Amino acid sequence: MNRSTLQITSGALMIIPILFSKSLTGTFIQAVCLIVLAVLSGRKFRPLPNIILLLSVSLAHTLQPSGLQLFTIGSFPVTLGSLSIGAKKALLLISFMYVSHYMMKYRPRIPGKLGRLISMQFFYYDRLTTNWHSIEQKRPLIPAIDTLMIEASQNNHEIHLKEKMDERANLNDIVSHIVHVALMYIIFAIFSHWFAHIVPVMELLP
Amino acid sequence: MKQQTKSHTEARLELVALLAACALFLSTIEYMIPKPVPFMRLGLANLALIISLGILSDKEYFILLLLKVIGQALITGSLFSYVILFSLAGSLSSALVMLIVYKVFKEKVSCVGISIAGALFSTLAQLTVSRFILFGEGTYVIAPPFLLSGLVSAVILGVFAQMFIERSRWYQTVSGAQA
Amino acid sequence: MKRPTFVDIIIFIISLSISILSFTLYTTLDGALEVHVTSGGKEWVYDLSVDTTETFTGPVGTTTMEIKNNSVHVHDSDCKNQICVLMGWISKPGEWVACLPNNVFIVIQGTVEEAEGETADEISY
Repeated sequence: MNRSTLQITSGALMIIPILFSKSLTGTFIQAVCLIVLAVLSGRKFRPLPNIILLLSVSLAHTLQPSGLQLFTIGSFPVTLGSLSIGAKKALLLISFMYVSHYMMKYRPRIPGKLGRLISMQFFYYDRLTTNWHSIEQKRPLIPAIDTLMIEASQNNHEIHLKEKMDERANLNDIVSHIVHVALMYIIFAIFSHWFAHIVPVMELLP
Repeated sequence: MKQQTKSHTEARLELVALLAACALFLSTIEYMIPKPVPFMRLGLANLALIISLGILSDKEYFILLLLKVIGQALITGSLFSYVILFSLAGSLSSALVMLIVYKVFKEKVSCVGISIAGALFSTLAQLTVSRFILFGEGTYVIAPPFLLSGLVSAVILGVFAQMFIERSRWYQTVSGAQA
Repeated sequence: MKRPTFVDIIIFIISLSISILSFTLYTTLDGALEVHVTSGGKEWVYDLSVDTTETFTGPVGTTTMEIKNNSVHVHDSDCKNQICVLMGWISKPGEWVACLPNNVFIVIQGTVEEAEGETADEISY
């Protein structure tokens, strides 16, 4: 099995326990673990966009009141239930974002004609970004972009499609991926109903 | 003879890939521009689609659309996340509407009209997705400012696209090559 | 640059009108009805248009309220007289159901505009 296939398969397996998590706390812990996994896979983590997503989605849901009224703004009730529905939804979206980052650690090679077109697109993309840095006069914008497009479309008779060799996964990779996937299922199990039945303290968590 | 037709299709595919790369390049630029509201988007990448209407065939245009969506998802790593739903819904509906407006009105419409029509449907499609997966009922609150800001950026983009196709030497070569 | 064409202007006007008309969404939001539940000094609020079942605990036991098809009723209650259950479904702003023994009070309220219209009725009760 190739590394990129292993990476994508483990990510896909994680989606199930993320999607079916009923508990807000469980979803929160899953999201934190996924962010850690994505960062370990070399992705950047920027807190601000995530905080904005969490706040805006939670606030948007207060428009549909549900549950204990915490306080009112004018005559507008802010309820615990709607806040937690919003927060859970936002955490779910954040989880999906980072599962996706995790899955894309190695840029997957898409087979066939489409794959070739995408490689070509990235070849030109590299060219555009490198040439853009070397263009001295970037204003006015239109002639600058025009020059950029002309330069990029010239001398393209030898398109080098960069194909990074996809390495085969070794035992170490396989074991660590099994641990990652198992982690998500364990969190899911701990915060699920049957576990709360065994350890009643869990019932108290949202 | 056969060799020549093959190199012609190859050249067309390269043109599509170049435009797709341009869309990707523009979205990287957009990513670097600070925005007052995080969810607000200029849709710079749409410029590549508007400009390509006069260059590409219908089939090539949809290949470009597909490459734009996949390319953006690959670069941001969001291929398997909810972001791809917004991107697909917005791009697909605006691309379709822009093509229809272009086909129906031909030279009676400029890039400005095409851009506004595309932006309107892109916003409507994204609000629909938002209603179901992001903001729920709260979508009704964000809808008006989104529609208005979408209109403003569409006018700016449309004017820019129109100026580009009138002044660009590159555009003159490729649009002339097709005819 | 070329001047904008007639079609450009038409498309602009259509798009602008849709954007401006969308602001009326704010007033439709105010028309939503809320179910307010008071019990033991705390208040719960639910949207009448979202079906749900909620249980509240009072001095006698539990009272379960059900919201369904834009109406609300007490599904069951641990009280002796069962008046609250017999009161049946309510759906209009100002209408209420209460389980006095268990200290659970359920009332439907309109937001802002409708609430003002209903005050007169409430006083005349």
